Amino acid sequence: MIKRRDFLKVMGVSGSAALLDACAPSQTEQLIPYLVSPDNIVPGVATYYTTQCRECPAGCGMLAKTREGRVIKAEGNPNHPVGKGRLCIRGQASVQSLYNPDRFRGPLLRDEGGQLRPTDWEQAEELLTSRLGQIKASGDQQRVAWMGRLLTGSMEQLTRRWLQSLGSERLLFYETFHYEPLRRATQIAFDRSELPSYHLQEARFLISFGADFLETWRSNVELMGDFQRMRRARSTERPDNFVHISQRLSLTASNADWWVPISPGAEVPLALAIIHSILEQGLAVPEVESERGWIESLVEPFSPEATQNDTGVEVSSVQELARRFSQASPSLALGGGVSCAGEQAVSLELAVLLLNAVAGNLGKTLTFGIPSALDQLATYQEILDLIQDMNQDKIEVLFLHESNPVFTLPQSCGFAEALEKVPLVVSFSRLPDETTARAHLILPDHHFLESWGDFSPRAGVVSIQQPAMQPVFDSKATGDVLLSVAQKIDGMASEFEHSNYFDWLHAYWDSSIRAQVAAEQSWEEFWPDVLKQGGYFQEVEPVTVSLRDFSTQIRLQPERLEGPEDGHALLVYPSAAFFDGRNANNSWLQEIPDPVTQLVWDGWVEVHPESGREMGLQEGDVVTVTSPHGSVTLPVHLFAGLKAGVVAMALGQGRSGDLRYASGRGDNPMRLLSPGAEPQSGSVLWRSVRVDLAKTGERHQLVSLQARPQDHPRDSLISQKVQDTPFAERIFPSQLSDAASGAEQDTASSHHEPIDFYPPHEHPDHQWGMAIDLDACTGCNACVAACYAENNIPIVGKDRCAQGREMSWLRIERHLHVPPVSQETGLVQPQVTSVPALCQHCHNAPCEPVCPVFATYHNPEGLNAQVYVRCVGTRYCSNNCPYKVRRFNWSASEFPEPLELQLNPDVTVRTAGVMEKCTFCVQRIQAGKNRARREERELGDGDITPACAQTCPAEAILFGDLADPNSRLSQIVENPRGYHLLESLNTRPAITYLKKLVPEKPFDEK
Amino acid sequence: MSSPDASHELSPRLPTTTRFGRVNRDILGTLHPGRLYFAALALCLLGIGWGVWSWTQQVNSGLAVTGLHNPVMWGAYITTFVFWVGIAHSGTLISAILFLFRARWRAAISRAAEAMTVFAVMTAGLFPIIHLGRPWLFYWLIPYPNQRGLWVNFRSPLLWDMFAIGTYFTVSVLFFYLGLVPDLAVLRDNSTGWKRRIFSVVSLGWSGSTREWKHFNSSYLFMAALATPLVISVHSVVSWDFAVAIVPGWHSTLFAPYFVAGAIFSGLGMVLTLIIPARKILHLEEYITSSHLENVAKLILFTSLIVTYSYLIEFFFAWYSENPYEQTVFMSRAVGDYAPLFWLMVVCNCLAPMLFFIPSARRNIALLFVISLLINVGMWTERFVIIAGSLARQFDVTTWRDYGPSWVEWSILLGSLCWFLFWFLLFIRHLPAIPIAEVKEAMLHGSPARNSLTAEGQP
Repeated sequence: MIKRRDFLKVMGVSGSAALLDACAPSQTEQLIPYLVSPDNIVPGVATYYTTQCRECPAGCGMLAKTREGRVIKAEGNPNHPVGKGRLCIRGQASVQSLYNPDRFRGPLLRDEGGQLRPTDWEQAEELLTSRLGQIKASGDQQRVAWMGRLLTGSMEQLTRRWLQSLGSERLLFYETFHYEPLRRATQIAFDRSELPSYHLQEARFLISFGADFLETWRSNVELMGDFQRMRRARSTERPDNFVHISQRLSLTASNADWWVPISPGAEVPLALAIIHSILEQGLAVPEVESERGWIESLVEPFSPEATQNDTGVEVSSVQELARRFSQASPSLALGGGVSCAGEQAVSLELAVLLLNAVAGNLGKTLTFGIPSALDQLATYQEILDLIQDMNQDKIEVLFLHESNPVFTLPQSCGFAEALEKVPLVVSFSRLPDETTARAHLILPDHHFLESWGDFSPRAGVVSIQQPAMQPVFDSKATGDVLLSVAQKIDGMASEFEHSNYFDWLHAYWDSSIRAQVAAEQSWEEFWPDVLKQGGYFQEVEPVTVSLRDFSTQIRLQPERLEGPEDGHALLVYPSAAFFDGRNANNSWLQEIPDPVTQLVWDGWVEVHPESGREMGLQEGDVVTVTSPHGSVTLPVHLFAGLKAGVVAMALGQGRSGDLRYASGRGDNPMRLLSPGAEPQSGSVLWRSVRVDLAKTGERHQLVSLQARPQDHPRDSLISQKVQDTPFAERIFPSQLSDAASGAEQDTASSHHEPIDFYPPHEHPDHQWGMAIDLDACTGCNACVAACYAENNIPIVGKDRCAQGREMSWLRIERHLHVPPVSQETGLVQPQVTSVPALCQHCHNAPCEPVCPVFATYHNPEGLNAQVYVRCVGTRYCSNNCPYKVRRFNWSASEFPEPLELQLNPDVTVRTAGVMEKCTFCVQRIQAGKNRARREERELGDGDITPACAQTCPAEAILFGDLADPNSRLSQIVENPRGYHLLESLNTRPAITYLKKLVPEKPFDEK
Repeated sequence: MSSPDASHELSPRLPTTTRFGRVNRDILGTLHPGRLYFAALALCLLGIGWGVWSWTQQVNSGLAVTGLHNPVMWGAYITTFVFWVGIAHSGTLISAILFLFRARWRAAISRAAEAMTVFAVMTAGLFPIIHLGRPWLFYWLIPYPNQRGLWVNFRSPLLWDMFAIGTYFTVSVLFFYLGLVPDLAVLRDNSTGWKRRIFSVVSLGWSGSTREWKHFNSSYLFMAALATPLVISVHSVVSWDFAVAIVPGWHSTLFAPYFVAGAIFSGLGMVLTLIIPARKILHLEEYITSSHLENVAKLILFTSLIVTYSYLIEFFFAWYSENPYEQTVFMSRAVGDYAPLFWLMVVCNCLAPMLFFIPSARRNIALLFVISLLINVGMWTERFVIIAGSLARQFDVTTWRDYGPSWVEWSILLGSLCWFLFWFLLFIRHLPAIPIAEVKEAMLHGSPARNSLTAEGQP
């Protein structure tokens, strides 16, 4: 006989199982409520936890949205100073790394046969304990080493103490993208070995020497927000205030008004020529008067005339650049990324710092005294030393924490080979990678959304990382592993008063943070506030610095490149989506197109079309790229945004191993790099080789989600001038001037009044609408990832992308045209517009009348609603949609276990055969209305934010109520820059686009 | 079949009853075909089976197995749908319009044309269902009071389509059946056993009395008058599927007349394709003579000229409107990616029929057959270029993408062709392919058609 209680227990368990499984589309399941409802969980109501994004070292604040105990979405934490409530594409996609189906399911141990076998935590720790116990007992020093991702705060303290207890000081924080040249340059110039802080929002003119700050450089979300604040403040007469100097038209460069495609190594002469010109024109600030002597003699040989041949920039342009940079005070020059990667890396950073100094930017847009966590990074030299020690059998146990040096270090430096010499390699990685393939023991760490932690990206910002859910797999927090091992080793237990990491963190925050910054508060007062805010934040006052004479320390001899004289300089750049390859197994990031090339699911080598023609290379030709240090085989992508003579490869693809999304795509450029180090800072030489390209004769299909705009001289979504301009001029309509002058009173009104057969729709309560500022949009794709996360959009894979069956509701349409370098100025005006294209929610929607079954209709709130269950799949609506934003479910969507846990329960998972599209996040509209009703108030402007607008780091998207004349949106759509896509069709979209401001005059014209 | 001296039996000098007996025997003789017939039938069944199997693949895995994508959401299926609806047109044209115009030569081919109409609509009707994302819900397009509490959208051309095709099918079937009644009576009289019982029922007790003939003639005239506007309406409505949309290359006021002319053109082509082999195999050369075929060729020439004019005027519209979107589509047709198909279409639909200006070409049976095949190909290509070619080149340049059907689509197309031929084969096996009564009537009246009913060279 089954008892009632047993029955209820069984039902409770199976009920929760049913709930977890309820997202499978074709099954009918019973919904059974919690028997005993857990605290904090109200079914159907989302809970948000403040935490901290650890996808990269930038450390943006994050809110983890959970439903019924599982994280379904990551959003920025608006209280957090880093990111200010926004996340980038990688942050948005972090939920995919949480539920990544390839994650290690538990600890693994390599057996005698060399195979990794599952083991349990007790056994794994036992092994570690015995080995470390021997080392501890023997008293040998420096036998244990730790190489891992950047840690600060409690975890750093724990790791350091733990290693010390084992007699080792070797705690190396390793990040692929380090800032050693900059740190070295600040040391030389200002005697401060720290990265400076930038205040882009206060700058009025910006020059970037290769710093791709909108993608991966430093803290891209924060910098993009600051960049937009800077851009909003510029004048409409002279809207060009950003010049980018690099070899490749990166996403950042494509957002510049002027791009200087410069030869590798010509950056230092150009920077010095600008300084020369500033001094010559008498524009230097008085603060540097005392230093003038050495500066003048330093730049003396680098007059604009003398450097013109090297840099390719005309004298008048250098003078104008110098004039505008120094007169638009404060301005800012950034140096870094792909330009500070060769032998002159430190010299360029020095020149850039000097440029800032003579223009008077020190202490204004460039400050010191707010150390960054990145200052803690190990130098390349320390890593080379470790490799040497490994080779000399000095290292007995090597710990690798969330880093993949086998993949991300130049392969020629021999890390992989040295790893073979280490008797015990312990990896804490969550995912199989090139390094775990050589590890003996794998102790998978929790994902950051599953574990406690803290991180301080810079002084004054200490974020707390809260676990937002129970671990998905049998992983264990590394802190807990360290403490539990310490408990078991003789003589170590006494040094660690806590047996689990949470207690350790607690104690650290109590003693090291509360006691110092809020001693007057009790722990009970302090802690809840920290959790609520997402950390502890305070302003840190910058310090003043003084410039030192570094004229003897700057290397002025030209950069040398290794390799064949007739080869092409190789440029290796960070991937905007995969960072250094750590995100490569993330299906959203693979499927969301690369922001510049629009290619998906692939790796490639970029070749300038000119060079391609010379070498007889076509798009998709597979080539072997050979440097003196190695070779890779990749398909060619012809890309006009390159300096002639340069070929470029992104780091990130080419992952080996058993990764279902990343394996077998492209190749790893680190195979080509030299093992040498930059002479002054000792950093990795990212730009030091020339490569040969040899055709293999094979072809490889590169898939782009959009036709190349250069295929046809018509770019219809940018501006609505098509009917008025002659055919040849339609490529890039001038964007502001005609709007401001009223010439843009376009098609609809200049021809005739729009004629509507049917009476207009009525919107008694709300009429939802959107404004998208194309001037602010950088094309970073964060909104696309947010849309994938919010709306359960399935990925389809490369083959279906090639067939045109991608499911993204929101795509960034990129109109990119790279004109040839201007003969008069030596500059390029990149003609790039990113148009986020999503359902326009038209008032006269062409999709609506053609649907025979009313599956799509105009709802009373102005939404173009799509009823999935009603849809029979005639697809007529999609044919009739001029914006092509409707997506058809060609087949049933798949969410490999456990990715289905990420699905948003507020949004239907669509079945095969139905049409879908952007809903303006109707579930968020409903949630906003519910919240207002619960709080017994009217729905206010800004109460509702769709996922795309929520995350946009450039704040380019505004959602609101057009029926409310006082809403911010209603004000903004009156802007003279506003236009609708394909206005002449009289679809009357609910989305207003604001045109991009582009300079009308040549750069050197005053 | 006919005896060696049988040709004399058609001589007007002989008593009418003798000649009528010969007609009965000749035409009913077609109902006993040989081994080749069954082989063809088996092939058709095989083709249908292959098509059905392919379709189950599509239903199981979704439309991913087709070549369709964003933005070309309609492709081979809708092309084939329009193609078969077009084919269906000449049946009614020949039966109804030519009947009203008293073009008596039509009698010889009218039955086959009517049957073709019915089967073509039956084939066409499959495609809107096959092409649905969720075909099992096709009945949601039918407005009837239901528990779902939902209704259909009468603003959607797809709904108009359903009504137009439904009406056309109903009227075509009725018209076909009405014309068959006297012949069914002949069948009844010439059959025995269970067949005779069935024919007794379906021939509605026809006895051939004057009163019956009087009513028959007036109701036939009435049905003809009813069917005539449908020739215009059906394909006009089908064309509105496209013309009502805003897709460049579709959105045109020209579409209704353009499609109707094209439909008649393609239907006549299909009539020739079917009848030329049939008259050979069934030994009906004496009933369907080359002068009948010549008349069809003349009609083909006429409709071809209309179609050619439509092609030209479409380009004129694009040029004159200065609409860049429209221009892009037509540039892509004329010199772009769709140019090979476009020029194939021009050769088949415009240039090849021009040969019919030459009288000897119209009388060359082999040439007629070849050109009729070209017209079938050309008209399918025309619809493909209009549908897929326009969808592939819409407003937003960055969404352009070309389309080609997948093996599943080709298989279903093949299956549908077999389905059509299957019905046609059943038809010529079980029903007289030539209207016996009308042939007799023509002989009796001694109308110009009479000469064509007798062997060439007869006085």
